[in-house]
Amino acid sequence: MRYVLGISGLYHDSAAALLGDGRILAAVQEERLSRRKNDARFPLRAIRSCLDQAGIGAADLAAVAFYEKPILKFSRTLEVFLGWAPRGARAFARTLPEWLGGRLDIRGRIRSALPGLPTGCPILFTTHHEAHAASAFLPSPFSEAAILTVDGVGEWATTAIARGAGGVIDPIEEIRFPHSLGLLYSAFTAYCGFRVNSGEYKLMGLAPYGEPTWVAPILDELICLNDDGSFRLNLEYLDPLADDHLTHRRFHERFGGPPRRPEDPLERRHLDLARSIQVVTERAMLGLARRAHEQTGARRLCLAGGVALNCVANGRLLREGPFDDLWIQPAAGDAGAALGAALAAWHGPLERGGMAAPRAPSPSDAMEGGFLGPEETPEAIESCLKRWEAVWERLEPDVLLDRVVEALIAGQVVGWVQGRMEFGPRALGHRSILGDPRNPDMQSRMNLKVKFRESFRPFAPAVLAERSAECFGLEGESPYMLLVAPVAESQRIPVVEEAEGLDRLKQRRSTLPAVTHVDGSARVQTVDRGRNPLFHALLRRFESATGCPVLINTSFNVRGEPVVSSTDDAYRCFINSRIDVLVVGPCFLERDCQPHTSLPGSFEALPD
Amino acid sequence: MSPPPPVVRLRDRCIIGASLLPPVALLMLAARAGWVPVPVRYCLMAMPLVMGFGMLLPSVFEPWHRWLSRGQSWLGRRLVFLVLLAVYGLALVPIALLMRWAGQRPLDLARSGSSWVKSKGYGSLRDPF
Repeated sequence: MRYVLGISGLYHDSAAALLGDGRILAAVQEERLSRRKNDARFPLRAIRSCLDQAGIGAADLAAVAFYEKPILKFSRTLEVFLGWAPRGARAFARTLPEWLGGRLDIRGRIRSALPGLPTGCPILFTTHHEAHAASAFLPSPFSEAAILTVDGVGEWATTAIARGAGGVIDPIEEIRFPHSLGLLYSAFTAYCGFRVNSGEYKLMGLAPYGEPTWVAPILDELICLNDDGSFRLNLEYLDPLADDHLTHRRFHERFGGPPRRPEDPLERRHLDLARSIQVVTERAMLGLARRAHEQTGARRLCLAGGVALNCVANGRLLREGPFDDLWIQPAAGDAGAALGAALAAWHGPLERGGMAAPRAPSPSDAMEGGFLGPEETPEAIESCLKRWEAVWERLEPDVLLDRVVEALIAGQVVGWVQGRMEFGPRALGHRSILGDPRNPDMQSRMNLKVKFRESFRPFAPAVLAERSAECFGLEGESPYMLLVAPVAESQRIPVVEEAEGLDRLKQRRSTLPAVTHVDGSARVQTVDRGRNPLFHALLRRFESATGCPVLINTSFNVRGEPVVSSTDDAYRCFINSRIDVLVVGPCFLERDCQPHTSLPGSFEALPD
Repeated sequence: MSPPPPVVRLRDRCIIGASLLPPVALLMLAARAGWVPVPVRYCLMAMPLVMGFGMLLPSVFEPWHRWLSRGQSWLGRRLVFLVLLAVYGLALVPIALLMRWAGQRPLDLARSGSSWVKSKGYGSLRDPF
């Protein structure tokens, strides 16, 4: 078997992915193992985990691929400073040591991380958007598609359109830095008091509470959306070289005050700004999709890049865009680019240094349900629980499912750890916290008492794929929780008088109140037996007992913590939060029986 | 926190011993300037003795060595920051102004028109540039 290792990192969300004869064998984000959220360090642990999962060593690798061209990116960085001078002196003095301290010598870094790597093993470099495009198209079920990649910035490109056919990706056109939709969204994220490169989804969750009152000023002064789908930013309002805030004084004056600090209360203005930038992003994405359709003539679209994690925009693309079908890489951010780099090297043409392997798209997709991380054996799980002197019962699968359903019906919150860990930001039923969506108090309880996070944050429903149409207005499947769809009319409860702002949270809008967002939508995960048999069986069992084919599914972590990976992480999180029941593999644990009330956390907490 | 591992390698002993030299060197400079009543040659003679002492008792002087390393790295970071600020002001800004004067702008900052750029292809996978 020929193995190709893909690596992304040194900016944010480092990761590694391993292919064996073109099949995705493993993919892991560094943060899950290092326990530092959005870990940007070189992914040594993730690389080791991928090799261990395949049972191979560095000597077995046929190629290693990195997700960026470091020298091209460095030259762009210098050119940006030349274009930005005399502003940017502090950013220059802060950025340059990182580059000179090892970001340029990626080959050396990879060789020292993989001591047994044969000298003849090539180390290859894709461009940033090539890696995203490859991660979007090559694992997709489509033999031919348009590819749209949108993120902050790669080398120069911030947005790119390509055409994929067979195993070949042809780049068509791109929009270059500083005109970046990702940068604009991040600027509003920072302005509203959330952390850049991780708080964008909070801004998206906040949007439905506000009104789009700032859309006109944003379109008049900040971003110009052209008829051809392209856009231009007005750099007088932004400071793209500042890592932490990204906005200029003029921005603060125009949008009503200084940036919100994380500990400050959310004002009406922040809700309206969140809604407005969301509306502008959706319009821009629809324009880009139309352009991609014109340029490629394709009927299907593949999407990746950080902006592709905006599932509200994705839902609109599917409903209102020119394409018949859409496939989004579940790890659409930079972590997924590790996988893209490996796939681009595997299928890339010989004359470019690739391995020219043919591609045969699988009817579902090649992502193995997104379950590409490590897993523990029942013996390893029990050995870990023993170390903590935990109290557990080892149950047969049937009994286990019954006990979990009983707990859920009793209004308890269940931590659920099964099989291989997910790759990508969403928990898809292998590292999840589960709850009963019919319970109207469940959203605020899980937000405030279990996950210790903001009360406005919505929860996502996991629904049996075969019954999703009855509960949600979703055509087709959404196995990776990347599409937002309206809750079906049959489930809706009319709201007599609409409240304002965050008070809307208290109003019941459907028979599934815990997963219905204030605009009547939900970020749906459809669960099918093929990809996720045990979770499917659990949903079936819950449906048999209650008639409801839906569960709340949120990631198994607390605020500031990466999603749990091992039994050890899960047990500590279980003890330190108010999760009532923990299920790890066949082991069933109840909070009240445990000898601990608190344990040292397994992670490095980061501020919002 | 676990205690630091015992120092056994000769190289580490030498590093710890050498970390005791900067205070002696400072004392020597002060003696040369006449600020302290110590002959300079005594300071010179003390240097190998102090270093040898550090090598013989590495575990005693290891905390000092760690403190000094942290201080050096702190100082180094700040010095590098200041040097790079100077490089920016003295080299990058003049080049940027010259480029602008010659009509070249690396960033497309125009306010209107399409921003699509035809792709030139992805280039070779073997090249990091």
